[in-house]
Order: sequence, then structure tokens, then C-alpha cells
Amino acid sequence: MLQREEWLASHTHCTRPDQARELASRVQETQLRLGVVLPVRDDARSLGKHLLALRHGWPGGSSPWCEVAVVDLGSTDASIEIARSQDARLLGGAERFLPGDAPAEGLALRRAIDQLGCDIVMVVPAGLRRIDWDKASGLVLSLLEHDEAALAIGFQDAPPPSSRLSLRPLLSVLEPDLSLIVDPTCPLLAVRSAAVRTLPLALTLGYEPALLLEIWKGSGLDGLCQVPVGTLLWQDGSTRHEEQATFRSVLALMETAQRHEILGKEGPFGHLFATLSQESEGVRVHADLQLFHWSFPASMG
Amino acid sequence: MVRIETVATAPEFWKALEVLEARRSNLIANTVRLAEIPSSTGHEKERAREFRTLLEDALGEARIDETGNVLGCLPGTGSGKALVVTAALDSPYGPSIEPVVEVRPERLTGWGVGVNAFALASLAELARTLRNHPISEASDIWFVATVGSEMAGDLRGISALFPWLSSTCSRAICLQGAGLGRLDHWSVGTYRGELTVLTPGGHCWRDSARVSALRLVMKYSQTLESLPPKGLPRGLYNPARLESGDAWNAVPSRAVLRFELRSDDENDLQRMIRSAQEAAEALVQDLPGCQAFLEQKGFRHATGLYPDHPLVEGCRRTQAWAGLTTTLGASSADASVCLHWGVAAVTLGLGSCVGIATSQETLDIRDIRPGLRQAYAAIVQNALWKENDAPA
Repeated sequence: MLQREEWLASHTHCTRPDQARELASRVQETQLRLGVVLPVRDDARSLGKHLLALRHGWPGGSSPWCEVAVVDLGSTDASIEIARSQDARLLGGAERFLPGDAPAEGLALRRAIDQLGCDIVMVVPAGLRRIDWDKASGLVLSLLEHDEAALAIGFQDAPPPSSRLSLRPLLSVLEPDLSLIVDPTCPLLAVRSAAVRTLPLALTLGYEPALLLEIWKGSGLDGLCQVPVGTLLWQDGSTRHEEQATFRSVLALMETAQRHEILGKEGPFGHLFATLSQESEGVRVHADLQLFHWSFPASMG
Repeated sequence: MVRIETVATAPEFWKALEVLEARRSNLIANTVRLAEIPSSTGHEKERAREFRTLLEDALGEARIDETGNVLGCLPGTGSGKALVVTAALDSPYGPSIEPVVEVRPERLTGWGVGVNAFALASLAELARTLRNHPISEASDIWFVATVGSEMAGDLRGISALFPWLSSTCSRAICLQGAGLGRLDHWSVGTYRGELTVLTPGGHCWRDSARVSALRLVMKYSQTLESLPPKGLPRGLYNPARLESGDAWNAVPSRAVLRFELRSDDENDLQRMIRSAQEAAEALVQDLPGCQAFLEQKGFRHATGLYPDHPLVEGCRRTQAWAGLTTTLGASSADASVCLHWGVAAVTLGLGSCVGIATSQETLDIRDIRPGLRQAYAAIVQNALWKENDAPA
């Protein structure tokens, strides 16, 4: 098992120039099947250019992707027409919401893993205004460099408040190792299908931190990589339902933590207690975070 | 002059066209990629780097010169002087714009996507096709993406290539994304001037007898309105920008007017410039403490090729062969500098575009074949041209 310093040095990716070209040539050497899935919900303004870039505009001219798939999460605009015009593979039905009005973003990854038959699947939200493909390629390259890694998650130059103020502190309390993850809510990520296929996976918006915890429980830090992806801007200029995502992330994380009996256990930072109960209107979560008293050494004043 | 009808009988010609047209999606993808790199005039570096990579992929070698132009050469086996094909690297928007392109099955929409990015991406695709399907006996072909083609740039990119270009090349084909069937064979003579007027200023009530710099500039502008002749040859005066004023109650002490004088005819243009200079001098005569400075910010001669010039005639034929109806016209772009230096030059439009120079600039991508065909055929035809050829 990797220690924290070792992990930071080896599994936090450093961006190299021309990574997109490098990925295309590495794929030719390794014969791996790479797939990319774009969850789409009313993203007609940006979907077309991402599909075009993945299929025909890849730097160097040769696209590394065997499968370019779109999962429709209930679009009412021209997204599906655009996906068809670009010969993208359409996966599954059009569930916009899961029970409890949860947006079905995690479902896209589940479908891609189950239906594409690819060794590695990258998730690219179709609503991103612009994607730096050189940086995004780092996600797959880091999985190619670390055979034991199951998930490569992106981190933004300035992670959003949901990462900085909610999920990262929460993960730190649950498992201090995971405090090394800079941006646990980053929606740009890549997974090794074989390693993730059998794992329980939250199907809602904000599934990413729960997936991190799940993989960490299975293989420790060796199973994780993190990759800089620049700044993610959404086409509509929003922060993309951040409050919803934070809430769903916390729910999914609680469920995973409870399943692994992490809740209520004493960690170096404090206790996190939570109870989940099924009620008529859905699942109710009651969480209680108790942080230990911090006493600083005299030298720190 | 080799006729397009003769060139088009060769099976290799059609094979090359087939490959060019089969790469439609790559061309559109590259158009989007280039369009999304901000590239206002004077800030073309990043787009130039990206385009150099594209041209390098196409030709095996490309470089950026000290001005910022991207150049690549496809060596030929013919004895004729080289042909140069150009497109502009910059787009007509300010440095604060971050262009985003919307891709729909039938169109691309976004700042500069049609006029500039499409022409650039086409330049690289044409280079790739010509390299992969060589034409025997063709001259060298230079592919050049130029900086500074918009107003503020004053064509500094193409200008920096002279006199080298005139010693190497005898013909130039300048590509523009907008205007399918467009064939500009004439350079609109253009004078860009900036008049700065300085006066003592003061309080508008207490010093009401003092002259206002703003009023003087407005008077000057009115004088210039009368300069262009009515009818033909066409000429115009365009007041482009006026800066002046301080406080509500102050007599403006400084005013700056940017303007353009344009004409199809060189004599008319020179007459208008002289009148503008004289009017600037007369403006502050006998006004103590007032000054006026007229500065030239850009200049292009009114010159061009007559419609029966072999280059124009040849391009008309290729347009007709590609199923396009030619619209002869005049413009003020890279071709103007080539014409000034004695290099025969035309500007070809490649596609149908609306909303030019706005965030809604839209390129129709339903059928881009005719535009590409005419450009490819025009390049092949002119690469086979020899100095002592008879007109088409």
C-alpha cells in the first residue's frame, strides 16, 4: 500500500505537453479499448463541438476513442438530434430523475461501464463550455501508467466551494488519507471498467466522492489518481446545480460510509455519526459531526 | 494557362478531391478548434501556434516568422514561380472576447468562425491534400497564415513578407471564409487617419468664448463628409470613432477622431487625402492655443487586376466548374498588399456566412464542397502556370 507522500509524488499527475497525441499513440501500442461517455441534459449548445473534437478533431488527427457515447438524461432541446448527426452511440433510456427527484448523472457512468465494453471509460459532462483535451487525456494516461489504479479524478485550478468547504473536509474526517484528494466533486474523471463494474455506484448527481471512498476501501490509495484539468466552465455560466450536487454527494457518501461501518468510528479528527431511515417521502439522513478539540503547540502561538 | 477543364480530366485530380471532401468532419472540427482560440489583432500567438501544428501535420514542416505569420512550403517539380495561398490568423473582435462556438448539424455559430477560422482550417486541409496527392510539374506552393489582417493590424503580417514574397511568388490566392462565389480582384484604396485636436478648455459658462475641441472635430468631420464623389468610381468617408469630453460643465480640451477614406480609384483617394490634410491645417488656423495633428494609421493603394487578367479569368472558370456563380468585387485585405507589390492576387470566398463580425457569426456547413472544389482547382491551375503561358 502506498503511503501518503509516495502517493502524492507518484499518483498526482503532472501535465505534459501534447498529452492528447501521446494518448493516441499509447493506445495504438497497448491495443486497449477506450470509451468516452457524455451525460447530456439540454446541452445542445456545447455537445456538438465535444463530439466533433472526440471523433474528428483530436490533436494529431488520430482519435484514441473506440466508443463515443451519449447518455441522455431527459433533454428537451436538440441534444439528441446533434448526437445522432455526429454518429455518437446513444445509451439507454431517458431517465431525467431517479426516485426521490435525484438527477441521474451517475447512471451515465454505470451505463457506459455496462454497455460499452471498454477497458477504460472517461466521463465528460456535455455541458462544459470548453475542454482542454490535452489535460483531460491525463486522466486516461494516469490509469495507463498505474495498472492498479481504478479511478483517475480531475482537479480544477480552483476547486468549487462544494469541494473545498464540504466534501473534502467531510472525506478528511471519514478517512484522513482521502484529504489528499484536492477536488472530490470533479465531474471529469476516468475509470477502469473491470475494477468498477462490481462496485456499488451511486446513480445520482454527485456520485464522485462516494466512488472515491468505495475504491479507497477496496485498494487504498493505490486505486486512485488525481489529474489537473484546468478550470471547468459550464456553457450556461452557472456552477451547475452545486447545492443539489453537494447534497446528493453527502447522501451518497453517508450511504457508502455506513455500509463500510466507518460512521461513528473514532478518527484522528473527530467522530461522524449518521443514521439513515426510510420514510414515506424518501430517505432521511441525520448526521452529527463531532470534531476533536485542536490544541496547538506553544511554538505556534 | 492550363484550363481547369484540362486539369480535371486527370484521375489523380478527382482522387485528391474525393479525399479532401471525405475529410469534411476533420475540417469542421479544426475550424471549431481554431475559432475557440481567442485571436484578436495583435494577440494571435496562441492561434498561430495551434495552426503551425496543423500545418506541420499537413506538410511535414511549418514555422512561425518573427512577425508572427505561419509559413509552410510544398516544394514542386515545375519551373514556374511559386504560388502563395494565404488566410488570416486574426479575427475582428476585442482582446476581452472569449469565443465559444456552437455546433449544429447544419451550422457553426460563434465569433470569427466563418470568415477566419474556416479559411484557416481549409488552408491546412488544402495543403494536406496537395501534399498527399502531388501534381507533376507544379510550382512550389507557399501556405501562409498572416497576422494583423484586421483594421488595427494594418496588414502588417503580409506586408512583412515583402520584398521576399514578390521575388519568390508571382501569384497569390487569399482565402476568406465568407462569400461563396466571391472573387475580389480589386483592392479598395484606403486611408486610415487619426485627428487629434487640443484646445485650452475651461468652464462652459465662464469660458464660453473658448473653442471646444469636440466642436472642432465635428466641424472637421462635416468637411470630410463632402469629399467622396457622388456616383462612380465609388468613394466614402467613414467616421469610425470619436473620443472626447471631461466633465458636464467643461469645454472639451481634447478630441480624437478616427476615420477612413476609401475609394476604388487611386487619383480620387489621393485627392481626398490631400483635402483631409489641408482641412486639418485650416481647422486651427487663427485659433490661439489650439493644435490639430493628423496622423496616418494605415494605407492601401487602390489597385487591382482587370477582369480579363489570366488569374481572374482562371478563377472565374474554376468557380463556374465548381457550380458557383462568380461575383466580382473589391476588398481591402492581404491581396491589397500583394497587388501593391506587383504580385497578381485575388480573394476567394469559401462558404456562406451571415452575422459577420458578431457573436452570432454563422457558417452554413450543409454543403461545403463547392467552396473547397473551387479553391483546390484554382490552386492546382495556378501551380501549373508558367510565366510565358498564354491567357486562358
